[in-house]
Amino acid sequence: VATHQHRVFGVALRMLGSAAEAEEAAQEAFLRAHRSLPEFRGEAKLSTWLYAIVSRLCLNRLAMGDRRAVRHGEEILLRVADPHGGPDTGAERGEMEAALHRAIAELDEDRRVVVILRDLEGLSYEEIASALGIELGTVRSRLHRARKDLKGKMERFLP
Amino acid sequence: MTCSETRDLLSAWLDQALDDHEREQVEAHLGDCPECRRELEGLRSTVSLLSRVEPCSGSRGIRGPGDGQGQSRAVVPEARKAGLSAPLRQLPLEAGGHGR
Repeated sequence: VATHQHRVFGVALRMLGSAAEAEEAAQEAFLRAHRSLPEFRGEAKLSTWLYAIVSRLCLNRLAMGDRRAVRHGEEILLRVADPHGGPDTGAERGEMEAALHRAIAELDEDRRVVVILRDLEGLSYEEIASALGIELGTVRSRLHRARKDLKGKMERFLP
Repeated sequence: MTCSETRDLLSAWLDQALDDHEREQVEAHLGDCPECRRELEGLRSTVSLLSRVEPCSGSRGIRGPGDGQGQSRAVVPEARKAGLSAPLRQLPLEAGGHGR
């Protein structure tokens, strides 16, 4: 469960851009999961089920539009860019990671959630479609557009 | 298949998420089109960058008090009402026995 906590928090942080809001969303996700546990039939992995709950919570929060103002991405950068921070971490890698985190944070939320679940969390297209309640083709097109957006923003770091 | 149609399928091709017919069409086009191959390499490099992203560090708010990080600072109002001021680690989620 500890592993899931960090991953669920990570998804929320990348979606919401604020640690305080991510903590609230993660907490709420686990409470909902706990309440709904009798309905969980084990057809999906527990992790996928939790991703589904937290992703939808985050999208709902973003859609409500009454969130505390967050300068999107900045707090994420403080928390996740250069996580080891040791002397072996080159400046160039740090710069690349910061740019990447910023680029992810700037994606439209519908694309951002798909790229987070696929490329950062490793869910399959089918799992993402099920988690978000969208068609497989929609997963495919949103993921492609997200990667194209990221490619455009990360051009100078690409070979 | 046109360049535009092919490019829309390149991400799914990288993820091996195309059906056989689509895959064959994309591969036939890639064989003849250096520009789409360049586009593919750009996408491949982008996905490779993403694969290097480190997981987010843990939240103070969902760690337990025994790990030296102090009490949770984020408890949803509903949880508060229910007297659930404990951090997530203390919720009995393990009891379900579900897992990977």
